[in-house]
Amino acid sequence: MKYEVVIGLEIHAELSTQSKVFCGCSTAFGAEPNTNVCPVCLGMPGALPVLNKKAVEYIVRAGLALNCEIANYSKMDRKNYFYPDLPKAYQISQFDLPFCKGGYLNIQADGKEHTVGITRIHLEEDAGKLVHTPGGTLVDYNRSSMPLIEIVSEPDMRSAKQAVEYAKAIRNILLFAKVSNCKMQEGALRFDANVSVRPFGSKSYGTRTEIKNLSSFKMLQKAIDYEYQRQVSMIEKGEKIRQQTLRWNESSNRIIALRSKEDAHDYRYFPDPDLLPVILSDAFIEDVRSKMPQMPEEKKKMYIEQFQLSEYDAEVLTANSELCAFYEEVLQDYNEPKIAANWVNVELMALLNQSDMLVEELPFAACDMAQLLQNIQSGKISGKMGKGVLADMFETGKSPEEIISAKGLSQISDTAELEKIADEVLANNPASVADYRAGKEKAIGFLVGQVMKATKGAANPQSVNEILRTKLNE
Amino acid sequence: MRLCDMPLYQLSAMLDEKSISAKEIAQDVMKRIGEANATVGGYITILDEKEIMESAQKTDERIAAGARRSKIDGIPYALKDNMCTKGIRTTCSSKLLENFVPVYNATVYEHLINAGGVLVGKADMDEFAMGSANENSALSFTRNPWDTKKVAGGSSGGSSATVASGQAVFSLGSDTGGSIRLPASFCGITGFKPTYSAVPRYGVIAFASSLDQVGPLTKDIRDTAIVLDEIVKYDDKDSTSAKIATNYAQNLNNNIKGMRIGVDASLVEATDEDTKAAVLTAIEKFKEMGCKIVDLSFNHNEIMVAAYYIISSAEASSNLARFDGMTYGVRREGENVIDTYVNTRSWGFGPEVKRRIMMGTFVLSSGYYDAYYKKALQDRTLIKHNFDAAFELCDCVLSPTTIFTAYDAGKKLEHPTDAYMSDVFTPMANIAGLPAASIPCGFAKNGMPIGLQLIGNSYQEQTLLNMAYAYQQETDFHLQRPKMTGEGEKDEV
Amino acid sequence: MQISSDDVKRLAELSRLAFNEEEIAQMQENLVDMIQYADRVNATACDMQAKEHILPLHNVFREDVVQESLSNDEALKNAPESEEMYFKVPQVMEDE
Ligand SMILES: [Mg+2]
Ligand SMILES: [Zn+2]
Repeated sequence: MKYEVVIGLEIHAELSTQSKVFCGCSTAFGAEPNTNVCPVCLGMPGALPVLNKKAVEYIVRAGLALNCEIANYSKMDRKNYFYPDLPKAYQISQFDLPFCKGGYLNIQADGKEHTVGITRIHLEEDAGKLVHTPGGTLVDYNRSSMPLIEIVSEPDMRSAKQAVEYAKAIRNILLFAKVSNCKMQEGALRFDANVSVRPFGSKSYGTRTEIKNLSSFKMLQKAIDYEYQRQVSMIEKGEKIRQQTLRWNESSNRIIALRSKEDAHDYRYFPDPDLLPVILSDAFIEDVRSKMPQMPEEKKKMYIEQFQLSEYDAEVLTANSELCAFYEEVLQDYNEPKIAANWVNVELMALLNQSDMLVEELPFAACDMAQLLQNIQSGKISGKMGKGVLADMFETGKSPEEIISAKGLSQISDTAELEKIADEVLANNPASVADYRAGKEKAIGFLVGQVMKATKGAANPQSVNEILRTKLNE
Repeated sequence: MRLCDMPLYQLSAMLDEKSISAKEIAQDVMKRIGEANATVGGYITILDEKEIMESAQKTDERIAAGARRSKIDGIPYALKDNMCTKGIRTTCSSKLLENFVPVYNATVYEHLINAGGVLVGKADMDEFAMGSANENSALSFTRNPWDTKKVAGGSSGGSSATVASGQAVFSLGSDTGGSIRLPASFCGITGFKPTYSAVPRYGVIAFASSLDQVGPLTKDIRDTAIVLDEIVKYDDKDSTSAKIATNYAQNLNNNIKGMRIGVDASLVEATDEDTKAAVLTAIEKFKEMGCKIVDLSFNHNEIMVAAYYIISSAEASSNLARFDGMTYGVRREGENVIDTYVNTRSWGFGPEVKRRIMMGTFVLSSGYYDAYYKKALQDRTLIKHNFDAAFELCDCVLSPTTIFTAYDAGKKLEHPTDAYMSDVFTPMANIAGLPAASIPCGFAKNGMPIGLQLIGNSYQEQTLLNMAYAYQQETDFHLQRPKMTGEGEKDEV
Repeated sequence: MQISSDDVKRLAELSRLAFNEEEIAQMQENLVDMIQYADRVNATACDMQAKEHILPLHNVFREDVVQESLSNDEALKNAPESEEMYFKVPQVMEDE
């Protein structure tokens, strides 16, 4: 029998607020342990939470970007459980009245478009970080009470590939909406995957397991593949799948079950009496909508209509928010959208792909790229030279100016000098001159080539061509 | 009368007149603590004498410079030990917090620091404010100054007994279901629970967040108004804090003619003979002063008490989960983390606290939430509605504060719910978030004080203060002082 | 409402409390009492919508402004155990 995998994702994304969700501590990454903490996020006796307004604005923005309905009335609840990373022994989260419900996202995967339903998006606080050492467990509460949104999807994905594409698309949307920096290496984006299998054609769902805390797309892919195989082989052996919480162990590349005792949790959710309800007026929601940064669909339309980019170029740029942001930054100093798009999509992408790097890892800034394109535009260097300079920039992180002058690449645009060289070439190649004058247009090509050779390619071929013609027609 | 037995407003006036110094007041209070601490008790932590005297000295310097900060500048006071005081241990009377020294101040304490009050010590209480006799303290003891064989009432028993015995001029307590009013009634002083949201809860260790409210315990309603003026303030660190403009002391007046007082006769009937007689006499007194009595029927009283126990236990079970020995407090190590949690909490909490945690866990647990917790919230909404309707008919509600007067310490109750049944008149103000006061209205035949409860509509603190003020102008119950051991004289009034 | 000793054990586990057999019996009795009392909430046919708060307040927010945190010393001041700049807790198994 053939089995189909059914996947739903819960995605935790950290919001890019300056301060935490219930206290004024900084959200800056990389601080020394337990220095961005206060009585509130340490859960000290008597301390009380106050909700960060920006966090509410951001979750509404995320909800709008993911086509959700925004609740006019929501509230914060307490989720009660004991764990050393949770200083109050409850997490402030949302239970029955989340800020956003009923959205969707279209993704491209397995060569087709799919729609993934979004059940809800709720606001909650993060927990602290445990550091395991042989002598005991250490806790850093800097991350405690960082603002998180949890995006819960419908079980609409049917392959690990789809799940990864969905996760990437969510990341892209959150980046475009500017609500999260989504830095995976900093834990700003984490996935929980709900996985079950069923025979193809079956309408009912199998028993699902939940794989917690996957922190990269690769892990997501590997964990789902592994879990699919595991469940299928269990079913084939006639064993029953148990509903349980699992953890992907990256070092051993396998899934480990958390103690079953942990599964028997009864979180005893109830409305947090320390926090008051949030009532969002339609006017507030419209205000957030009107201040929304441009979303990919909108940008794509603008690129095609105003910048006259091809559908393909517009698609490539808007499918990657960092690339898109880089492109728009280039345009700030170099206002030739079509040329810039070509350089970004073709030349830059080729370099990135070759070395398996991300746009945000580029060793140079968008303004450097703009500078390079200006140099080509002005004729200082040729387009062909430009590609070489870009490769050098990519390699060394040096500015285009630096590279051009260091390698003496500057095109000879001094007409007087070019004319001198042209005269020499004409004098040394009488046969070609005669051919041209006899009507053999092609002969000019050889002459241009001779000038370029004499200048070691530093001349602008266009200019050389013009100079030679003028002289030959004299 | 000794300075330590005088009300705040009098001492304050004397300080302004420079007829006494703050140091003299502090000295007399310290002396009284020495006399009463072994018999009445009431404190968990008493500050160093040097520290107290320095604080009083600063007031005297301000007075000399003509810069007295407020009417409580220079007045010695006590704080219930559930209010965080930076650098001064704050225990909630629990073994778990025996060594806890906060690194931050409760907002109410900040206000009293700014007003120039002289903190004397941290008052004893029932562990985590759970109890009504102050017999659930794990770290200290408190007895009734009128008869030290009897209980002081709880949970703010220390806050009440210290004021009644002259070990503090006033104190702050907290009231979740009557914890200010009950001990005030038992100890013959004035206790006031403000409207929920009036006084900042930041830094006050929570019992039940939606019910807790801090308020003053004083010897005179004028003192109450003075203290309220300092602590009823908006706090941006407390989401449930309201913005209210106050000037209670200034606006205090005894013209209560025409005020309508709601009375549910069945509540008065439910009390012991002495209490009933005293309350009926008080009602007559109010009539004499020109008030109208309106008949009310609180047929929701039993539901109300049940709803109170469900909501308060549910919130407590969650609020007290943080006492797990991980980041502060005492830890009792086990084999692993889970054992450590269990060892710490099983060792650290007293039986009453454990009962409430278990009850709270039950009413929130899956399968029971709707039948108990949610239903209690519904009933709470209903009770609030009933009060709204009652306040269409009257300006305040009058009842006894307690069913009986202070009883013998160490009395064993057969069922824990018997204790809950004994304080049935006070939780309604918390459930509906209303301001309520208990004022002395007489003495039982055995000499123990009796309290009268007045409940007002939301944010109508001034109405209650005026009613109580008018009453205290006409009566002298609040002027009586218990005879303190070691003193030969009977205090004159 | 019946409460079994297993119910008591389950509630104790959720509450991170432990009781010996005698205490369990006592707690069982207490809980039965308390729940019986609590059952009175069901005495009214109240279908009123349960409000989470009796306060007529909503939308209480703070602005997204960073405020001073505690120093590491202050944060760890009450810690039962600490190491370097961290709180220390008993060994938590990562994959238990
Ligand atoms: Mg979550
Ligand atoms: Zn903080």
